[in-house]
Parts: sequence; C-alpha cells; structure tokens
Amino acid sequence: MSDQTLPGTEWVDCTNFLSNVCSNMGVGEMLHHPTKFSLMEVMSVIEMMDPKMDTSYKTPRVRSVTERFIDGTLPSFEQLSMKQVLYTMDMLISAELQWYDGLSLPQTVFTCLYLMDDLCYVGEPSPEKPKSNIFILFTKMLFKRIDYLIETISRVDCKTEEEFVNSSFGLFTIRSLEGTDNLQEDVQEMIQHIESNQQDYQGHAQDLIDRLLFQQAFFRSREAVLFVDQDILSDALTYTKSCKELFQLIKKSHADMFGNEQEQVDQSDGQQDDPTRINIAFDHKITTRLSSAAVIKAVKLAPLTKTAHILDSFLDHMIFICRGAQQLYGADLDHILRFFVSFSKLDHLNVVSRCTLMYIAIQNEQAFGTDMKQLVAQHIQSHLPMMNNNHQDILKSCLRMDPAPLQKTNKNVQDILDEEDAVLTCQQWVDLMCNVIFNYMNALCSNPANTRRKFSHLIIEWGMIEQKAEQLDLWCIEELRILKRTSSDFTISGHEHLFAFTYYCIEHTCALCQSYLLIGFELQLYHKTEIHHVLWYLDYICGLRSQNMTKMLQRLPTDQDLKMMQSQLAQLTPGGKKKKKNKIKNLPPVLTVPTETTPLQKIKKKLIEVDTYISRGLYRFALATLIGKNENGFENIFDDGTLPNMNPLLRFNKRFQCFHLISQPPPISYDQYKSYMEHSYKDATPSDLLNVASENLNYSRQVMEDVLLYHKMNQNELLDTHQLQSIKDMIKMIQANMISITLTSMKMNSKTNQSATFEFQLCPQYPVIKLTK
Amino acid sequence: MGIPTKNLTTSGSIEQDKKIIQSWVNKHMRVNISDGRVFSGRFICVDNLKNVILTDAVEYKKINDEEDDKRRIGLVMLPGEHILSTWIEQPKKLQ
Repeated sequence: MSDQTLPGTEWVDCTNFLSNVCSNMGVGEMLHHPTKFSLMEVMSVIEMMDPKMDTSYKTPRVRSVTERFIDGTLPSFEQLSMKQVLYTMDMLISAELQWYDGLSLPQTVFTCLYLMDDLCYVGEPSPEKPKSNIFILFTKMLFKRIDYLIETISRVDCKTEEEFVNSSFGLFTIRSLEGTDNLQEDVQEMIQHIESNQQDYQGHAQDLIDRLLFQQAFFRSREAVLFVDQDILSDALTYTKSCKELFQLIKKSHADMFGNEQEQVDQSDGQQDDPTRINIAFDHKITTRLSSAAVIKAVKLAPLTKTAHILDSFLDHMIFICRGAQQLYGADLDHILRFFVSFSKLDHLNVVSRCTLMYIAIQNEQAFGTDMKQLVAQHIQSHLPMMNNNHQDILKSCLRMDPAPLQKTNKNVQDILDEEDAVLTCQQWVDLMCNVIFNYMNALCSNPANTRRKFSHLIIEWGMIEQKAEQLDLWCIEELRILKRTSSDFTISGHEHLFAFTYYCIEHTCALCQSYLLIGFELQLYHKTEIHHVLWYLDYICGLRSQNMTKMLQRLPTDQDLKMMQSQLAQLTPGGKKKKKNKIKNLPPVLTVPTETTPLQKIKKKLIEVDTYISRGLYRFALATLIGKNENGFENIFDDGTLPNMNPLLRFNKRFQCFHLISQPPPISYDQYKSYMEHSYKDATPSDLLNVASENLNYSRQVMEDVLLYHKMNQNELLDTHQLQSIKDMIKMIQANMISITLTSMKMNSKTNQSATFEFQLCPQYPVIKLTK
Repeated sequence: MGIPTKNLTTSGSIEQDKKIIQSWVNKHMRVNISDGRVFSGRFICVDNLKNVILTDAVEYKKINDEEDDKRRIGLVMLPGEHILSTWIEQPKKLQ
C-alpha cells in the first residue's frame, strides 16, 4: 500500500483523539462539512462489515486472472478441450441473457476469465491458435452487440435502473471493438477454414459453425435495429428468424454434450483448480475484484439450459416487433397504439424487447416515419368525421395544412384577433396531445408498475388537454353564433357538433382511466376488500365513456330535422294537446340529434358497451360475495379478522386519488359511492346479483359475437389482427367468468354450508374469476 | 503499512477539539478495521459512535508482507465498533 502523503504532510495517529471527542458528542451528533453534506450522500454510502453491502467481508481472497494464469490453474485458451470451448461459448450466451434480466455486465459476461483485460489471456489471433481465433471472433460479435444494445437502450427512457444496468464499468474498451468492420467476411472465412480442417475440431466442427452463425445473425439483427428504417426492418426480421433456428440447434447440441455433466458443473466451486472442469473459463466471484462505487455482488450464473427460455421469448418478441413494425410505416395512430397495447400484453417481456420497440417506433419525433402532429391531426379528423367548418378551419390553420389564410366575411378586427388566439390554443392543444401520446407509448414500453405510475400522470395531462379543448369548443360555438347572427343566409348544415374536441378528449381520458384500473389487477394491487370498489369505478368509467360516445355523435338539427321532429310530436299528441309526460321536457337543453355512424364508429360503440357490461357483471358478482351470511350459507369471505381495520373512506379516496385531479370524468367520492350503493342495491340479495351478473356477461358475449359477424359481413376489413385477437380473448374470458358465476350460484343454492371463495386471476384483458373452493 | 509519525492529543476543550475534527473534512484519512483491511480516502463525516465516512475510498487487503490487493470503492462508511486505528494527513509543522 502506498504510504505516500502529499509533500509537506505526514500521517498523524488520531485514534485516541477521535475516540475521546466522539465519546463526548451527543446522540446523533455528527461532525461534517457545514454545507456539502446531504441526506442523499448518506443514503448512497456503502457500509463496510455489512454482509449485504460489503462484498469483501469475510470472503476468502479471490485470486486475479493474472495470478491464475501464472500459476497454471487457468490454462491458455488453446489448451482447452473442444467441449470446454463450446461450453464457454454457450455460457457466454447464457450470461448475456442474464444481463437482459437485470444483472450487470461484471456479474454476467465478464465472469468469463478469458475476457479480462481486453482478451489478453487469449492473445492475438494467429494461425497456430485456431480455437483462440474462433473465440476472438465470437467475442468481437458479442462486444459489438453489447455496444449496440447499450446505445439503443440509452436512447429511450422506458427502463428503471434496477431493470437494466447499461454501464460496462470500463470492462470493454475500444480495443475490444477494434477490427469489427469486416465481421461478416471474417465469419465466412472462419467457417470455410473450419470446414476445411474438421479434423482439428474433434468432431465438433458443425457445433462451432452453428455458434458462429448464431452469433453473427444475432449481431446483424441488433445492428439492423440500431440503424432502423422500414427497409432495414425486413433484414432484422430475417436475421432474427435465422437466430431462432440456429438457437434450436445450439440447445440440442448443448443438451447432447453437457446433459449428464450439468449437475456436476452446478455444484462446482469457481475456485477449484481442476483445469479439466467444463466451466473452467468462468468464476462468478471474480466480480468482487472489480473497483466500483456501486455494490456488485457475485452471483452464480445459470447455465444455458435454464436461461434458454429467455432467448426464445426475446426472439419471439423481436419477430413480433419487426413483423408488426414493417406494416406500421404509414399506418394511422389507432393502428400504432393498438400494436403497442398488443405488444404490452405479450408474455415474459423483458426490458430489452420493450426498449427495442420504443427505439424502433420513435425516431426524430416521428412514430414509424410519420410526424406525430400529422398522425394526431389525421386521428382527430377520422374520429370526428362530421366536424363543423369551424373545427376544420382551425385545425388546418393550426397544422398549416391549408396554407391559404382564413377568409371570413362579416368579421371585425376583434374576431380576427380571437381567431389567432384560437389557432394558437389549437397548436398548444395538438402539441400537448403529441407529447401525451409519446408518453403513452413510453408507458406501454415500461414494466407494469411503471406503466401504472405513468398512466396516473397521463390522466392528469389529459385533464389539461381537455381544458384546452373546451376553450376551442367555446370559440367554435361563439363563431357559430356570430355567423348565425350576422349572416342572413346561414343555415345549419348538419355537420355542427358542439363540444366535439371536448368529447374527443374525454373519450381518451376515460380509456386511460380504464387501463389504469385494469393494470391494478395485473399487479395484484387490490386487497380483496376493495375489489368491489374498483369494479364499481370501472363500471362507472365505462358507462361515462359510452354516454360520451353518444354525445360526441350528436349534432345540431337542420331545418329538415326540426320539421320531422315537429311532425312526430304532432302525431304523438292528437288534437294538438300536449300529453302530461311531454317528451320535449326530456330533451337536453340544446336540441341535438344523432348522426349516422360509420361502421368503425358502430364497432367502437359496441366495444365500449361490452366493457360496461363486463365490468358491471364483475361488480355485481363481487358485491354478491360481499353481502353477509344468508339462509343459503353464503359466507362473507371478506370478513378476515386478522386484517387491521382500515377506514374504507381513506382507502377509497387513496385508491382513486389521481381521478380527483381532473374534472372529466367527474370524480366520485366515497360518500357518493355509498349513496349510489344504498339507492341501487338496497334490497338486492346475492342470488339476484349473481343472476344479473350472469345476464350482463352473457349480453356482452353476444355483443362481441355480433361484432365479429359484422366484421365478417364487411369483407373482414373493419378490424385488424390485434383487435380480432383481443375480441377472441375477451370472449374466452367472459365464458370463463360466466362458468365461475354459475358455479358460485349453484353452490349457494345447494344449501350446503360450504362457501365459495375466489380470486381474480391475471388476464390480458380483464380479470378472470377463479374459484378456489 | 505506514507507521504514524505523531500522535494527536486533545486540547482540553471539547469545542476546540470538534473544530479540529471539522477542519479534517476533505483531508486524507487512513482507517484500519478489525478484519485487517485498510481504507484510505477523504474524510467526510464522523458521529458520536465513531462511525467514519470516507469518499474516494480505496480498500487495501493484504496478500502477503509485500503486496496488497487494491480496490477503489468510493463512498464508504466504516463502523466505529470495527475501527482499530485512524490516521489523518496533516501538515508537518502543525499538530
């Protein structure tokens, strides 16, 4: 150890001095820099002599690779047997997969002793060292791929620090990446060399070739992702499929070669000096030698047999992404978002596949090659197809789609100024929406817990967007009024929708609120005593969404409509006398009539209706099980005496906290919920509730089947593959829930004293009731 | 391991002594702990239990009489109960 001090200084023993002063300090008193010492620093500290934080604590010294090399316990790479070489390659693949799963590079890939110090223990390539040459080529592709992966993931913001450690800790440098320009040619040459000299490889020539080709395909697919555009995606897809095929061959050969030895390998200790050990190249404890400010614990790596499923899933996700993404260039926003939602519901997603999608999708503020503003504008225009002229004009001006200035007659200067404000408000509105849609895609590419957290922020953002939309709508209504007042030949055209922008925003806010609540089931956040609260709120949101959709499609009546309505009224009231129940009284303050809906709008309405009936059915089921013991022996399964009492008011308000920060949909307080419950379900018995729940679910299933039939009748052009799959999954879920409800009802009616208990299982679309007894 | 050249003695006034310790902030300190490791780093903080925080710390672990294993760790806290001795780097003229 260096004893050197700075010139003019010396070491002074302050042991006793420090002890004396500390013993006279008060409890909790600290001596430190007056300003440059914060809580954050204290929390970052690594505590020595603590087994969890101190990686050197009570561990025997781990010898360096140089020491092992010098004393012969680590043979040179050329001295390894072919099986050891192949096991090393397989283990490197496995190590990389465990890096994808959240371990760091020093804990995974760089537990390979031959990778230390820039491959110096392998040496430089040379004709006399065929094994080393193969290994160097193999690892160069590995390093390059790691480099590409770190770059891809660093550019997107949908991972947490715990999920993925993208620091290389200086363990591979530019030198390791040198000579990677001609990798493809090098691989071809190497394969030819192996094929020409098969006798040198002890019958494992094909195994080596498979691994080299796999590494090449994997590297090329990663390279294609990094330099992504629509054309390169097809290359990425080809290479990924090739990876998948080659990996099946590698798995098989690994099982054949190492199947019997795996148990011995699992039990062996990294410090054993047996140079014939199959895993001689790896020692997980070498991690403890790393100089790092972060605590990096040594973790024993799993072999390829146990991690192969990670790569299988990852390659499937990559194929899904590449295949889907190719079709999304030029697609509309709905298609893009549905793709993201479908992707988020795939099994075993890891951070690398999620970040890859985000990276491919969003480049230079474009989503799959289309400017986000353009996508949003198209989306607004297609979802509000009957927008009035004011809406159209303002949107075009805001997006500069119509370069000609607005030409309006009968306008005074004040109106023109207001118009500019309206255009500015619209620009702000569209910018906010672009931002929120980017964030929504980002949220869908995060892990479920993060997704939920981001959704809660997005709900609040949609609240702000809705306020801007209201300003725009009020301006449009004012314009309408001015036109009507000032223009003698003005007539309602039948395309005037009041509050079109606002309803559009409310629809998206409600959809997001719905997703936010459903993710809670996936994360198993809800205690069984609050499931009925959540299902009720879900039912409430779906109901509002349905009403909103209806209002969005209402327009101001034309003169013709008014004439028709008057004649209908006259028919209802013969002799011109008004009936007691005057239908006019039931009309909303502003007279509106429904518009003709397009086939897509019809389907959307139906799907929203389905959501409403599913959530209502599940709520009634949950409520039925909440009601206490009755003569049929149906027990209150929520009465768990071991749980601490929690104020239901606090729990309700806490659970739906983020909804109280927006005005639409109107948030519901616990008191409002209670009064609704008392009003609607005062005399309901469990039997009634279960029957109605069953009817609700049955109705929703019928509607889904009608939707599929309608799609078929329209030459299968209305729904895309993701929507179709989603509908089929929903039908299965509904059928499963109906069976559970029927069984619960039967148990209740059987007059045994057995109660039914259930749990809500995870489901991609909606919770599934699983009876546990 | 370096042999301390001098020992520090208390001044008699606790407040004065605390100020002396406060003046050590960001100075080099070396701490020897009970399992034989030595940590060298810049002094940041000490509390009433003699827990010491060092930054830019380097851990030295003895291999043999001539060699130490060296490892950079960063911000560390050394528990007072395991501290055997501490040295502070001081200008030669002052104690």
